[in-house]
Amino acid sequence: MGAERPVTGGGVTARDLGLIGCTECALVQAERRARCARCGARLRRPDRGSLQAVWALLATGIIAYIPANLWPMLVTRSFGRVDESTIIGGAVDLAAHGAWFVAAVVLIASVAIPLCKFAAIAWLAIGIARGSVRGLHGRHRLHALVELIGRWSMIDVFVVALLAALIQLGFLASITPGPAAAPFALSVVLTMLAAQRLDARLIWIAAEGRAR
Amino acid sequence: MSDDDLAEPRVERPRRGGRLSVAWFLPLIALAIAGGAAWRHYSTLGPQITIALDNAAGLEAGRTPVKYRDVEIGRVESLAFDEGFDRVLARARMSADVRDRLREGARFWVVRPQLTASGVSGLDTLLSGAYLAVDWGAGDGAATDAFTAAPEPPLTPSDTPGRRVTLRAREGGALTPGAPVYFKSIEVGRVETKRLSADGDAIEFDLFVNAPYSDRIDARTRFWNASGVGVELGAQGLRLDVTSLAALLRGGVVFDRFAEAAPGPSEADAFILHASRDEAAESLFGENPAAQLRLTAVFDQSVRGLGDGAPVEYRGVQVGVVEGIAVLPGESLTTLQIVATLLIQPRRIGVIGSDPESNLAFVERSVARGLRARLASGSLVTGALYVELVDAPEAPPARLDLDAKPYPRLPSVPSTLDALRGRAEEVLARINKLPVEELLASAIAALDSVTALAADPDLKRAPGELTGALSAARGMLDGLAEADLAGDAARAMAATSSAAAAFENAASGLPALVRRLNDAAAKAESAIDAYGAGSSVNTEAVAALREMRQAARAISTLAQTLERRPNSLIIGR
Repeated sequence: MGAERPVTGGGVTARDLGLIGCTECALVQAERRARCARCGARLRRPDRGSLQAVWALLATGIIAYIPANLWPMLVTRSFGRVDESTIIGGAVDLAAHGAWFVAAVVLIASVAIPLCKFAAIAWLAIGIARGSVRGLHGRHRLHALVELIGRWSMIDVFVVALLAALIQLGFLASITPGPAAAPFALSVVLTMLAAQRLDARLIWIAAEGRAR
Repeated sequence: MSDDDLAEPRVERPRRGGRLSVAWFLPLIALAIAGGAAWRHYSTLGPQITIALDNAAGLEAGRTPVKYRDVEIGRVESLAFDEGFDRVLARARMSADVRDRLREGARFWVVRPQLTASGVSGLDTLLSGAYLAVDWGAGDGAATDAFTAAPEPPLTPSDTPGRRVTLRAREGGALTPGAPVYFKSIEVGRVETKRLSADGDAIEFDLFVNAPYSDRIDARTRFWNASGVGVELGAQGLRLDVTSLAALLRGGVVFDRFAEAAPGPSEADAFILHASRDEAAESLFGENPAAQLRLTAVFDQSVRGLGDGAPVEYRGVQVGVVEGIAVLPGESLTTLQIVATLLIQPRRIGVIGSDPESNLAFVERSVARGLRARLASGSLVTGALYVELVDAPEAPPARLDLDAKPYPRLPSVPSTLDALRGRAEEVLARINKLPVEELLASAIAALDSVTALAADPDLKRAPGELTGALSAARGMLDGLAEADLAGDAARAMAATSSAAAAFENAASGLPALVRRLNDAAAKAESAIDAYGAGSSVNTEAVAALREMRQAARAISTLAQTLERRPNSLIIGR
């Protein structure tokens, strides 16, 4: 038991006791074990090297996000007239038609949130790498928020899938997902994985290491 | 202890700048894919071209495709105006594989729905919107990136096998671009353009005739206009000529080969568009311009109704046309002459030779035999005239005036029509000129003088004198008879011979008397004739004369009897 440290807020970490907590079933056990004694899951030690994977996933997500915005998301065929719209183009069209609310929802869900996620994950990763001790609680909450929102980022893909399934009226009108749908979904999945791979414990461990 | 309890063998790894995570393969792969996609995009990204259009109806920036054979080869990216705001410049991004097709001569046009007499086209663009279509053309021009869109879609793609010919016509008629071209009532091509010729005198049409039929165009081919409806009321009844409904609406061109024409390939791409099939057939005789004869004829009558192109006929067969009519000063320079120039096709008057000299010689001989030009009426209703070449051997001798300018002069005879008309006019003029008033006056005067003559006492006395003369003659005869009766046969027997001699003497004087009486009667007759038939004087005179004649005859008989038998006076007959 060490002296009271600001990072732990009076609590004690498993690491301090030479123990390790299972990330799956939360059983605390001896650190030397490779697998969880209860659920058999691999025990993951907080490792700053895992940040590399975060960075790699984030980078891939960002790369995938570029064609997701450049290529058309929706291909609308109506009376033989082919209309291709990108995400931003579609939002602008919606706004031009007066559907400000829908346009705002689309812009926020498909543009603002992914971009914020990229920024948030990158910021968190940088913070861990530098062992920043500032705003630890805020960063922790941000990480929780990113994980929470991540699953909702697929809403765009869901909308496209729904529309494509619903509007298939042959020559009259039909909607098919554009080439941007796949990279967009990929980008969302990769950022979710990146957020997941970002071990929140590292925020504290890094700060602790600094503090020590 | 179970295996799980065993401590994981720890691998020491450097803390910083250590081993790279395998996760980094992910962005590398993503980058590779993205890079590949980008490279593909930019490698297929072709040149940007500018197409100048009159208007951008139906075109949308970023949406309107450029198509070749209905395959998209580009897309209009932006629409702008040129500097002068005269045209719309459509900037289009073409795909890379058509790069070396973008040459001068390539034609762009906007495909829009079109409803024309010959059909409906571009119906698909009703829903999908207009698009730009392209025809690469010959493909031998210089590379360029600026094009001007054609206002109308080309009717024939440039790579269609066939032949393009130009037709020249005096009148365009109802023929419009897009009109069909027929060969033996098969549609074999289209009229592509219609324009005024450079000299402004004719209408020129560009025609495209599709491949297997284009071989049918040679020196024997004649084109004619099949616009509209032809109605002919002939010996076979009513004939209605409609080539096709499309031809009815947009006109049409028909061509065919005429066996009469000289065969042979035709390199010329320009033909004459004749107004009708008949005219096309006529044109065959106008083959050799060198063989054509130009003659002039002077007409004394009005040539009203004789126009350029009026036929020149010989016994009802057209042998030429009137090429022009001019008023020229006559020989004396004080009079004016109407000179018609006649273009004669020698072939039509049986001269096959192409030598103008011999043709002229033939005409000269014909003129010597009595060939003359004459105006004739083509239609009584319209008053149209034509020139008739007639054989008039009774006409005053004349010869072909070879020295006349500008062309040899054919002697002319007055037209029968004109003569007829002239005579009628003359008669009317004479009737008009008749002095009816004076005639009546002189007639009245004549009648007056007749009356006066009849009232003349001398005239009244004349029959009286005649009667006197007759009574005197009768008295003389009575005297003779008395002498006959008084003769006493017995007594006078002795003196018979002397008496007979005396009578003979007397009788010899009788013929003279008779002659004198006859003369008198003739004189009287002529005198009576002068008084006119039917007058009382006349009747009296005639009666008197009759008696006189009878008297004369009686005397003559007596004289003859006395001459034959002088004794009959004594012994009776």
